[in-house]
Amino acid sequence: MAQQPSHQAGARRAIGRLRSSGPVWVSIIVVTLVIVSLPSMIILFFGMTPTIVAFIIDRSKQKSATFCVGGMNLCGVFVSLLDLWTNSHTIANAMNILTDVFALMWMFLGAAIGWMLYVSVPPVVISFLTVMSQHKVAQMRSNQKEIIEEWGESVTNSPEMRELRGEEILEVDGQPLTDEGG
Amino acid sequence: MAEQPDTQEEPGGGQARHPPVMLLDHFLIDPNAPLPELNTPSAKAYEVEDRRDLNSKLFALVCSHGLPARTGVMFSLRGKNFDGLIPLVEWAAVDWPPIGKRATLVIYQRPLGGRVVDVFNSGKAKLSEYDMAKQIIGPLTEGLNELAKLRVSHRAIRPDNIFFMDKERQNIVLGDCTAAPPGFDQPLTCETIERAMASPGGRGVGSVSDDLFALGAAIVLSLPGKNKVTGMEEDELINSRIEHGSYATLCSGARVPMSLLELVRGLINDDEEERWGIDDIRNWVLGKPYVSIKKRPARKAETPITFSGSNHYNARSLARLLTLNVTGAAKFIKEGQLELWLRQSLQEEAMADAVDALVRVAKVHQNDPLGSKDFIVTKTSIILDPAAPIRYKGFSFMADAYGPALAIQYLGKGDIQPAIEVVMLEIPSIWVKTQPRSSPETANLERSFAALRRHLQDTTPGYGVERCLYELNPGLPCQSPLINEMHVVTIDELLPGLDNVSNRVDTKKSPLDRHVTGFIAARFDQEIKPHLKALGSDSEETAIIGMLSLLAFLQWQLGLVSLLGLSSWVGGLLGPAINTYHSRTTRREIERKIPRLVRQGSLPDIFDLIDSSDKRQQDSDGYEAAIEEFVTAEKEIQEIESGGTTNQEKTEKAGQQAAAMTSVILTMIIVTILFMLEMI
Repeated sequence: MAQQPSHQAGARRAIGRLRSSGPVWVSIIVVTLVIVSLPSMIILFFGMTPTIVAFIIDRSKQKSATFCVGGMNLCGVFVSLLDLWTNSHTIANAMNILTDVFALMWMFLGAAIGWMLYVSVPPVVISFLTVMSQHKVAQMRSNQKEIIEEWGESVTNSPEMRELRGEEILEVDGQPLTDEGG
Repeated sequence: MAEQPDTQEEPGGGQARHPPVMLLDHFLIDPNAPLPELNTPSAKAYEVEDRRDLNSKLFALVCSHGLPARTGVMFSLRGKNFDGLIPLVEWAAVDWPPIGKRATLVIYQRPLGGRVVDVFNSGKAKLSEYDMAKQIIGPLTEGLNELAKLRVSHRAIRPDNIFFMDKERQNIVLGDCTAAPPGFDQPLTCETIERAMASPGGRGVGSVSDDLFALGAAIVLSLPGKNKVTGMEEDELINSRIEHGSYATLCSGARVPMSLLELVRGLINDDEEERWGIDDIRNWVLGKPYVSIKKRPARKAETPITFSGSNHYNARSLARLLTLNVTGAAKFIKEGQLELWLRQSLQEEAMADAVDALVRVAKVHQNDPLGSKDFIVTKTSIILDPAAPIRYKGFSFMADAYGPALAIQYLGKGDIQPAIEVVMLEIPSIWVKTQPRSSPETANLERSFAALRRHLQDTTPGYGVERCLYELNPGLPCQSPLINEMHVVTIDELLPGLDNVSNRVDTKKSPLDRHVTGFIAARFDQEIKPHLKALGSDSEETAIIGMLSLLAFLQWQLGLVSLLGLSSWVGGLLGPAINTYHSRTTRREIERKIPRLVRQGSLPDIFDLIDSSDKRQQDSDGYEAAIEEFVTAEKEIQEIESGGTTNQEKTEKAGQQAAAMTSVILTMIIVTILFMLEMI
């Protein structure tokens, strides 16, 4: 038992080290990819600009906007990447693609769809969850009604219920005074 | 004073004919055939036919509803055949048509020779004074001796209660002694001075010595010629007996034959210690040597004391007069004249000191009962005459007669408050302490009064004055208005009685009123305190469960199989008890099952249904769980309803996460499709 906190502290320290060393690793991977596959990296860098923007402006911890935009943006960029990978994987071809309006249109259209998802899905989900909550409340109220019918009104006057209602609880000999005299 | 007890008059007062009454399947009592010659002052006599023995000659005495009969003595004498005593054949309670109620009937063998006093007065038979010893005194003494062996005193020996059993008038017997409380029907002349000063109901059980006094008095009063005492007023008679002695008063003017003189002097002796006993009479009858009683003058003061206009030379007559004029007496006692007279003239230092102490205490307790004039006078009367009855606010009784005196006061609708106050003020304890000699009897009396005081102090059902009534009068029927007409005397008769009246009474009222509960507490020999405690609860539900539990316990213990009417009555009162269950389902289940159990007439089963511990536990657990469930739901509802910004943020975050997930999934699908298209 005594060793468990030290294990947890060790794990936390390991995660901290990983996080602090994360950018280094990303930089190493990016540099490696630039060296290995520069044309793809050029298309990815320019094609994923909306995602980079989304990443910068999305202050949330979960980065949902970045994922939304990034995902759909990647779809648009992936068309050009496939084209690059299947024809000639050169910087010139990459530049050609980047200067192709339709290719750019797919990339930015993807990003736009990503933004649309980010804007439109939450209200739908919120409405859905609200309806679900209301349904749950109704179900619980019905359940409470059944409890009252079965066990009587006194169940609504227990000390806990009074506390929930913010009523003052009178005590006799240290025992809360209920309607039943107990 | 209490009213006279009711007699067996017909409700309509007319001469209506009534059907014969069958008692114990073979005694046929004819209400239309009275036998006035065998009546007693408290009970009327009727003809009885024994269907199993048509040659037997019997009669029945119908006990008065207003008097507690001596059922204990009935038990002792039933079926016994003693010389000198009228044989008691049977007794029981039956519906008695002339009064429209149940009554206790005592069946005796019929005396065929009539009353001795009537026979002598009519001249139909003559008895020489010499035959008297063998034919009358001897048999009656033997009868009293048999009673003494049974620890029973007759207490009804008077001239008109001595009979010839046979037509030949050879066999002489004492008549009934069970239909009224001891001494109740006695003329003052046949009671000792002390018991004559008590009220008729308060004369007490006494002892064989009291019976022998009565026998002596009855002999004197039966002698031919007019006796002077016959026309005397009560006060005059008692005063004369106190001043001159009972013997001198009763025999004054009577022609007592010489041969009976010693016997009469020995029996009519006011000093119980010197009074003749059974052995002395036997010796006298047999002509053996016996103790001759010399007439001794009563102790008198040198100078009289004047109270209420009359002079008194002895403490007894003064004590009696003090209790008859309480206001004047209290002032008289407080003024100190009495103490001085006791000390100087009567030379009773102990009495004088006791009166002095009483006056001092009264001054300290001026505003409470211990300083009241009634208490002062009663205590003074006890000090002056310890052998006399306790006399308080007109309620006078010998200490061993509190029960019958209380019963007669109650049954006669008299004021019972003085009877209660006597016990609450511990006056009997004062009486016990004043007695010159302590005996096991006085110690028992003191314990008994202490128990009565505890009963009276307790106001819960099963205690109070009702409990005292039934504890002290084993023959007293239950006086509850619910079953009064049923004449319930024993505990076995109670539930059938309640069952019987269930269709005639207001069934919205509990069958256990204070009288029924007191009756049960006094007559039922099992431990019922927990039931009584529940019955006396302030909570209606607990009281109802207490009622049911007590009745069920009685039915179970007494082995009564089916009580349909009572079960139905009780079943109708159980609403509040059923409502003590929280669960509606349980309540409905109980309500559904009750009619079936009512039809079985089983109170224990109804009780098991209503108050099963398992069911109670289940209900309690279920109730606790229901509260917890209700509270949990309420908390959740409140959390959902009052979530506000936090909740909105959560939902919004959930929406954003859903959007991100949608995007990622779409990406994976699209990328896969594009890749596959390119591969194809």
